[in-house]
Amino acid sequence: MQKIITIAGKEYQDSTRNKLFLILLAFLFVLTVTSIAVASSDFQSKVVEYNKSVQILSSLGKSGETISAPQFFPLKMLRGVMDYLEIIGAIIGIILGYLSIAKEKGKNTLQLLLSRPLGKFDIASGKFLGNSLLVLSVLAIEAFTTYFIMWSVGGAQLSLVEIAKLGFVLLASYFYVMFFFCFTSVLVLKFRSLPNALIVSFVVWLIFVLIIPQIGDTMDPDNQIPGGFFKSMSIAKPQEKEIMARFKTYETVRNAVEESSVTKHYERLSFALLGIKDEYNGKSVGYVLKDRWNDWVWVAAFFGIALFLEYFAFRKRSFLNKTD
Amino acid sequence: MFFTIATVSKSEIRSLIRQKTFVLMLAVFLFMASFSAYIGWSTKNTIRSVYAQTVKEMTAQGIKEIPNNPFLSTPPLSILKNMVVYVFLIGSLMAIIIGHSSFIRERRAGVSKIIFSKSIGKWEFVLGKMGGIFLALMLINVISFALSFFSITIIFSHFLSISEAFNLLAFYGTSLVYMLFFAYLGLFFAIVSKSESLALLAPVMFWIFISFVMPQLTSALDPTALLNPTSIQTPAPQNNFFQIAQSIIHPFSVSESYKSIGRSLLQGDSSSYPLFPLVVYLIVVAGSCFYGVKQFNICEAEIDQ
Amino acid sequence: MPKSDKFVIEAHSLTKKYKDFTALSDLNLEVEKGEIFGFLGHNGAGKTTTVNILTTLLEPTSGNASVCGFDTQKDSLEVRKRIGYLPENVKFYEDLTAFENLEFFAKLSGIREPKDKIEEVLDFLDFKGFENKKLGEFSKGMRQRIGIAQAIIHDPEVLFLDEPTSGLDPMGIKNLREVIIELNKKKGITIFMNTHLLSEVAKTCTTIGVLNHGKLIYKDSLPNTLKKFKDEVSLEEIYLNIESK
Repeated sequence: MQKIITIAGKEYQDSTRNKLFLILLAFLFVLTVTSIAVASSDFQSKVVEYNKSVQILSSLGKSGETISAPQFFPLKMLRGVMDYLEIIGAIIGIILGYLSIAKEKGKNTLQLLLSRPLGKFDIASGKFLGNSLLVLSVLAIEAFTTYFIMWSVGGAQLSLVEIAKLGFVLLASYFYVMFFFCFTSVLVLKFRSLPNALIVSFVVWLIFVLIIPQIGDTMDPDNQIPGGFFKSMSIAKPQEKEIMARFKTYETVRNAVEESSVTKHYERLSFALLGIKDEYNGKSVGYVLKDRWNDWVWVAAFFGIALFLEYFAFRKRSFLNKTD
Repeated sequence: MFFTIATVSKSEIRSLIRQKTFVLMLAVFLFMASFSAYIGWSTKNTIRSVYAQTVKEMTAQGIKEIPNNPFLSTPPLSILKNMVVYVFLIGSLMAIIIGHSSFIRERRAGVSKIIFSKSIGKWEFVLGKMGGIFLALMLINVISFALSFFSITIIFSHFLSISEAFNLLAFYGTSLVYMLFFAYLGLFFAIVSKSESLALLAPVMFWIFISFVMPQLTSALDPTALLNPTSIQTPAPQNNFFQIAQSIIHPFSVSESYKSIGRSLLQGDSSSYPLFPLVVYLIVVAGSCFYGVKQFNICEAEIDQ
Repeated sequence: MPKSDKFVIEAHSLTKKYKDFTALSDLNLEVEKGEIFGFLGHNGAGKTTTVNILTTLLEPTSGNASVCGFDTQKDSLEVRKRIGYLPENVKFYEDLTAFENLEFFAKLSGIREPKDKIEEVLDFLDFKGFENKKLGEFSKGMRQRIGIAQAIIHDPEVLFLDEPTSGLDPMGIKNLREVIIELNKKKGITIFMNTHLLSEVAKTCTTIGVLNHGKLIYKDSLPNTLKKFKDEVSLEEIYLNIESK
């Protein structure tokens, strides 16, 4: 175990010293802070507006209860943050996965590591553990920053249930980022040329993260007009569903396109937990988890398979020969 | 002089065609070019039926004032609107890889010393590379143009008018400029970087910054909205930070500029941007390539992975 | 404009510094037309730096040099038209065939239709039948032949060889030696060869120069050298004698 911890410690240290990783992290934080600050200030102005209206009514001698309190769901403010985690979180996974293996392969230090009395999977475990800790700390800092801005700018308080939901989103985010980590590690281990492995990782990232969700999104009839088709026709949600029920095949195809991407499952799951999808607002953690179990299974499966492949790639020392 | 430049360009195209990663990306891009027409066509058909169904429901409910079909007036080229996003995403990333591999090839092969012991100057060599990249990207855009043209003619049974064909041509012309910018960015980092991975990751970082960070800082649009070709330019939130950020960053936000031009050419959307920021970017990055190669140390040209 | 007819290579007070390290210090050197000049020195003595400057790949910190009468800095293109260069551990585009590699380099030397020239050079090097094989499949000795072929394809006046025997087996060394002598005798090419293989110098070169810590400490013809150091048993001892002085 000591050996695994030593490798993990070195992984953590190497990555936190890597400039590219730090630049990427800076991008993520700039985007997160901007997105959450905008949402928080918007949230706060809505609260102030409501309180003002209540005050005016009270001063007129009327009860403030005559205007219904708007439903404030602070976690909804995380929509932009989730979008950026989908895009840049995945790239962080790719870069960490790449650096983790490429630094050994490129400089032939893998031979030195393998000449030590290490167990069969010690290197794989050490690398996985070190990067897991790194990803978890990035996610924790991200969550803390988000919460701090929501509280300081938006004046939002989170309930215990909301904190629990946030915890589950963190767990899903960990699976998601580590899927890209493991997947890229496998490619770098298997490919003779390191840059080619990186290019293929980016192609997969492009397909999963951007192209498939984008196709699904643009195939949605409601997305064809800015503001939404049904809104422009003054059609309510239940009626919209009724109409769309007649286009089952088209919707099934559209759904199948989206379902093939790990990113879409991660998005559906986190949007449900955070209440960005309105129908899940105010629902218990148990209800959301149960209703979105399908997405849980997919996200965990993508991660699990990639992790298995990484260990599988490490099982033989033959990957040593695959250095350019 | 022209002969040696042409030799480098020719060799560049030959090596690109032989590269598996390039062929893979090209296949993805061309597939998406054809697929975007199909998606547009299938969505348009569905939306027609959805409209008809909606009208039926509304009539059944006794509603008399039924809005006109909002898709009736959409121009035929708009079925290709996804192409704007594909050039913005796949095209630019592919261009980075083309530019990157173009100069890395010599550095990886370790032939720089031999090349520059022949009667060819550094700037002639880089001009040859840039010419090769230009020709390769032009070829890709010409093929995409042909694919788009024929898919509209065949799938949509619509023969493009001269002005529509011109718009389509102008769209691929703008796409060529946009892709060239990223390709030369890849070329620049391939010239100046010490390691091959850094040479690839550095332009990718720029790509992320230009494609996602800049638009977020100027308009606070969600990334999903950035990828939806239908969403129009929304004004930035009314607060000091965005007003300052927008006035400083917006003229440089080349990805927004490209998407806006692309949209206006394909959809007749009026919110257009001038082409010149794109051209300025291209000139700056091309100039950087010449500067980079001037400083390039031939004797230490070989590169680590 | 050409400066002199007698010397094809001239270097005056050539100095090259890398930050605190001086790779070459005040080097003065002349090589006559038709010579096979053996440039000797231990690892890091500055031999490759000298060749890099003479082939215009590197600019000196101070001093100047000319090849075939042209200044290496001011008329670098004219110099490159007249020289051939085989770097140490020569590398090629592995994904191209031998013919494609040679065609590319020949065209960069300004040969518009290089096919016949490639055949002629390969014939001269007795290396026909391998043109359509990719370089990735070649042995070190075969690569060295293609390396020579690319260096002489445009009929240069001077050929620079940087450690040409490095990594070759005894048969490869023998073949290369024969090629060098033949190039000098039949084609009249002046040869400047960096090496530390003294046995090769003894069998190939007409003149030797010894470089030590960036300074030229000895230069004379091989017969004169052997005469001067007639008490020494081998060239190796002569070399050690010169270096120790």
